[in-house]
Amino acid sequence: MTMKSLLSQNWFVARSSVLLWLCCAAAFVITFFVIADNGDSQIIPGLGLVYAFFAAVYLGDAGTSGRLDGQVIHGSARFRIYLAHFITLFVCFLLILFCTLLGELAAYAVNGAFFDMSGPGLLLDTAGLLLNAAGYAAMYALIGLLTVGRRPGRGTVLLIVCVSLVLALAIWGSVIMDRLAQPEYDMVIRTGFNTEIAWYGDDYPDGVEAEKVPNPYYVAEPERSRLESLTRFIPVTQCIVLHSFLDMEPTADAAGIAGEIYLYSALLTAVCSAAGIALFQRRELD
Amino acid sequence: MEYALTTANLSKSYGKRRALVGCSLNVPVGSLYCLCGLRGAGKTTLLRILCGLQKPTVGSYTILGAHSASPSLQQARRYVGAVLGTPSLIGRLSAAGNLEAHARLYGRQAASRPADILRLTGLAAAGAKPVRNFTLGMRRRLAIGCAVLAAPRLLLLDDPAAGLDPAEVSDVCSLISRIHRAFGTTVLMTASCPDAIGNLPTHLGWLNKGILEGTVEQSGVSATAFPAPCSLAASSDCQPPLAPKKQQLRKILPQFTMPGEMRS
Repeated sequence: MTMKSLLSQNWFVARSSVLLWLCCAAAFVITFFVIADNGDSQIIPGLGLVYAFFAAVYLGDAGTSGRLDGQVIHGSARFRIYLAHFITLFVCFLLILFCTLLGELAAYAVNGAFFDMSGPGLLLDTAGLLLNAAGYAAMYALIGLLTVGRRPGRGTVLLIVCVSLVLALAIWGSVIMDRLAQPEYDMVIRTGFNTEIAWYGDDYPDGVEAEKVPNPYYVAEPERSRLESLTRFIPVTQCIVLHSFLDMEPTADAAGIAGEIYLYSALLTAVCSAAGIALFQRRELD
Repeated sequence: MEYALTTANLSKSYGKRRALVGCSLNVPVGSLYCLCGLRGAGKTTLLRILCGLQKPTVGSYTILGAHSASPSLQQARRYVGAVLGTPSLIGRLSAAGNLEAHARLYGRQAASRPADILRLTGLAAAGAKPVRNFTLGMRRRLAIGCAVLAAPRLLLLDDPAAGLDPAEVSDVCSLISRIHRAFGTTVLMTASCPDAIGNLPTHLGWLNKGILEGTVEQSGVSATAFPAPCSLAASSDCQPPLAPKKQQLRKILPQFTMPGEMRS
């Protein structure tokens, strides 16, 4: 059984699913409206959640529909089956990512706020997001292909596991990003009817005086370097770091950070795939 | 005698529970072998091992001449079709869509056959109706159709009559019989009750608590006694082969406990 047959079957099933096109449409529409509203993309780190949802439903369906069993029964080598599902997931993720970037470009075009699309910032960001998608695909393929089966409820378990994992990573990532934020925030007190709201950040009207408050989570060196390395390893924070390249002048430092992210993404993909193939070879399908 | 499938002392344990104990089975080429047994007898476990979904704790098997330990087994599996448990189908797709999904996996082996299979299974009239709206009998027939898409030499069916009403059982049995004759396919199927599958099998085996208690070749019927393969178009004319009834089986093998009976 050739890889081509496996990929052909997987892609036929994936493209006939409404879910893929729904995820693509959602990625485009949400990105477009978030950027049109805020002028900045905050959706990219949320891609992990869209990927998780798609991967869980796609792999859950492969298990409960018996497609996975069918591929084994028909004599496909298990490592080929694993790789075919990983590649299918990756291609679908690229499609979702493409729609996200399309939504972003459309929103910038509508707002009239173009950025230098020929600059290395966009290139660094796009290349990183491709590898990031591969990392996610490898991670979900590992969890999915070791979990799914014919028994009812396995798909739901997979969905819960994948979504919980990406949310846990997002929470962990946001804690780390807080620690890596600037040592002091600008705080502005905004008065409502009966309330006073502390507003942090640099987004406040001109003429308002801001008070400097220390960041309670701020960490200094040497722990800071360790945390910075961690942000380049966790897929959720990888997206945040990569996307920040769009707003800054490309420097040798940025290229170094991007290189580190590429390396970690490739490492995550390789380790997850190797572990997944080894375990899937031994797995008893039920 | 040439065998399409043999097992030697095949055993499977899940922790302390022994699902299959030293099962040695020989399925002759061209036979329609039915393995009977109550729920939990180890029928599905045996088929799952033969399909490569699970590994035996002890023992080995040979499929179409390829030993379970040999690398040629993967090649031999390409000539095996199987329907295990609930039919493996994609609910949102039509019958033709499901056949196409399977044909893509089988490649050139199955490229031109989906239309023939739709006629064979009697589902040509189902059109674009999604499979999730099919009755269980229709889904079972379609699943069998998908399994024979690549013209397998060995077909494994796990309790194809389970959960079907008498009319659907008749349709499914008729389909299995047609496939057996039209393609000359060796069939190993399981059944919780021999009554359900009527006169279909040429060979019967009885599995009880994981132990193969005995096998019998039905008198007057052998693989060579089958008529020449009929064409798919004329397949509705095929009738199941004659075979002894349940009472005759009890005469031959009085030690068997038939489903619904208490062992004395």
